[in-house]
Amino acid sequence: MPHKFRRILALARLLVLDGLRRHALLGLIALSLAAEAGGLLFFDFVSRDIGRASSDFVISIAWITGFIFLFFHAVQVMALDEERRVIYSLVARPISRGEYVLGIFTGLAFLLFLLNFLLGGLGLGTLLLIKGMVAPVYFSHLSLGAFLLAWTGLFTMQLMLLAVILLFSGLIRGNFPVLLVSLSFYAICSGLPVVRESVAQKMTASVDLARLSKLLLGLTAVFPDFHRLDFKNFIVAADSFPSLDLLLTGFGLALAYTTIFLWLAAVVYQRRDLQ
Amino acid sequence: MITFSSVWKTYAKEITAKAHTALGGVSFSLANGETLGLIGANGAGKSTCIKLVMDFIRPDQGSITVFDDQPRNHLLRRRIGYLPETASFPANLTVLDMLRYTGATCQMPPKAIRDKGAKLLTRLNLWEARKRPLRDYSKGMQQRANFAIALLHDPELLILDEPMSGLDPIGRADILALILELKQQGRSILFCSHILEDVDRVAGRVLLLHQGKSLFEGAPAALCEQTGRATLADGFLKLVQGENVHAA
Amino acid sequence: MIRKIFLFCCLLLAYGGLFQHQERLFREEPLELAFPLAASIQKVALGYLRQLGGEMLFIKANVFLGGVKPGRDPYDYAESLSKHLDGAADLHPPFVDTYYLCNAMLPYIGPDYAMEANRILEKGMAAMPDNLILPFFVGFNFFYHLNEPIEAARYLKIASEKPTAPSWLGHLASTLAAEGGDIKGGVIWLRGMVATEEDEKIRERYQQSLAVFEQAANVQQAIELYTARHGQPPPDLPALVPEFVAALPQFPADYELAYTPPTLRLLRPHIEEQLKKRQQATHS
Repeated sequence: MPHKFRRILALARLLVLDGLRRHALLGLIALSLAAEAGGLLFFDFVSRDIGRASSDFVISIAWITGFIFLFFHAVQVMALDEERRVIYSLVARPISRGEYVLGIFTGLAFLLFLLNFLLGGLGLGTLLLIKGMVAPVYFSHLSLGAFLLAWTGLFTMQLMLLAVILLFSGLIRGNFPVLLVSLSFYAICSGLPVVRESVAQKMTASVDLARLSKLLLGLTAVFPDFHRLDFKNFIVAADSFPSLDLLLTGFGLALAYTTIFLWLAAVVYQRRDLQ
Repeated sequence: MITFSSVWKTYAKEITAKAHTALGGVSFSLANGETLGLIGANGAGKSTCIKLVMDFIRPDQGSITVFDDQPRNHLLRRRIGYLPETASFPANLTVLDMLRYTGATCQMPPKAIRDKGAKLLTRLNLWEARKRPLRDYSKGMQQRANFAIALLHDPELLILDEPMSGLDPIGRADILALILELKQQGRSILFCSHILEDVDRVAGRVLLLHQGKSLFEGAPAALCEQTGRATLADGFLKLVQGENVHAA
Repeated sequence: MIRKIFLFCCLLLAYGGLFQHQERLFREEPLELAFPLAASIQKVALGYLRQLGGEMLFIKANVFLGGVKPGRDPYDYAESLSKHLDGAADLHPPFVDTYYLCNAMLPYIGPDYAMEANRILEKGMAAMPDNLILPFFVGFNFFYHLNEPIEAARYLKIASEKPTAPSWLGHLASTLAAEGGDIKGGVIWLRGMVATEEDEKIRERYQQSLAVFEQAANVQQAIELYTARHGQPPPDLPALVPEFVAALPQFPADYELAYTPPTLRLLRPHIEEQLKKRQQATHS
């Protein structure tokens, strides 16, 4: 077992080094840091709920940055590994295909973590600065615990998406098709809760709608509702924190989901030709 | 060391390409300490054989054993050094990064990786350029870097896919000398190449593939004798042209 | 070479000229607030960013309002403004600025938009159940813009029950209830407020109001008895004397009974007059 981890970590290290040396990624981080600092300008436009608006802005910038990282860098890493035969150089070593998948996931997850760590640190600093600059009634409460929770929720969502992208990269050949399918997946995840809500509102005694509702429920198991890991609103809410049951269920489900998709990705990679 | 038994491989039909049989019932073997050269025209199936040995692709029919085990066992690759046809690395890595990766996956201690890596890089004239990204290397330097990565863990079996491809005459001579040195050390070598003169110099036996079929397996001298030609290249041409006429 | 440089300079000049002209045209055009995409579409498109999307809709509306020229007919942009604020409330219900802006702008356009504002404020009430300002806004709109004191009283009562509500809110609710004809309801609320108020001076004021309300409630009961006896309400209040009530009550100057069969209302005449003047000034 320890040798397995060593192999996985060796591959992850390669990915981290490659990522840290990419000018495009460094540029993305710099831009995001500048955008987050731009949160200081936000209260020119918002007169009352400055705390909420600022915290939403800061975390949203992190989400956008993570989104760009996932759908452009991560998709490229997987797809171009095959297109440019880099994967041959990597799996020509005594590393199994399953370990390859886990190594890629670990490397990219670590890069995501670094990104979130940097943006989270600056984000918290920005919020504290804004809180100090406005009257308490406009920014009365800033919970560090809720801030960390919101960021953990964000990072968890990104890991789920990363696992899905890994699976798609194994099933589909080509950079652009993987990008399209991954974006479609995300769009379905965003749209499904809206459709479910709409169906629930129209549902009376209609059997058809009841069946449709069940189908949509099943689909939610595959296309998860990321809103359930969105804890942004708790950052500035006084005396308000989600229940332990809710948190454990949400994060437990996310962990299980990520593991299942990684497993499937490993199975796909085990079986397919690297061509 | 390597055994191919009636191996078939067909690349599946795609939207832009028809189904294509890359190997049609090919059999051959490579014994311990032997050097086997795979020769053939483009599309003969040489790279397919190598990909099958390395478990990059799987056969449709037949069996392949490497070190008396299935190629799927990834731990076998601890004993294999692979040189790809096209040097492809993640864009921003250095040869040191790749050496560390290779050593870690082969369970070498860090000190051994450092010492062996330094020795190989010096031998291959890459020590000064060790910290430059691999994408900045010339073709010859990339090929030598590939060799360093392939030899780091002291493999018993070397698989070289077009080792001389894209090199200038000096580069070719360097690589050739290296391969001969490795041969003298008693390593088993499977390599494919278009440059038949080099194959003639290095290989103890050759396997001639044409359109996925094996046309000849044996010593280069035996091929010349069979075809009544003086050189391996002429013998190869006669066999292949004869096969084309026969097929027509 | 020189010709190419000259042509390039001409191209730059042409671009500069067209740019200036376009800027001038748009400066003269009245500012428009384009309708936003439906909130459901924005929820799908924005996903995790929906809250930021709501804030952006608020900012857009706010910035637009800052640029509206005086004298422009608000009905020009009312619908689009309403959609922006509605969208912001849908996308980010706990964001309180939306509701403040909504109540600052929409009800003053007209009664239809006062109703629209109330609908948006209800979303905020659902999202922030402890917030007393939002039901207060709704109650205010019903009273000031829509002339529905009973509804106003209902929402002010809701506001008065919030954790940090000041005590005068309940008093105001009961006063409006009585204005609308629900004098008994006003009495019940006032009795509760007298019982729970700790400040002596405020309790004394409530007791004074309660005394007036109870007298008005007696007259209301007399009207009900008359109606039960005769099958129709009395034509005027003196018809109740002396059979159903000994005498009509005499109130202090700031209270007045108004009877429009079958409804008895307890009015605050001086406040009514001021409000009417203000409403006329606002809606003209």
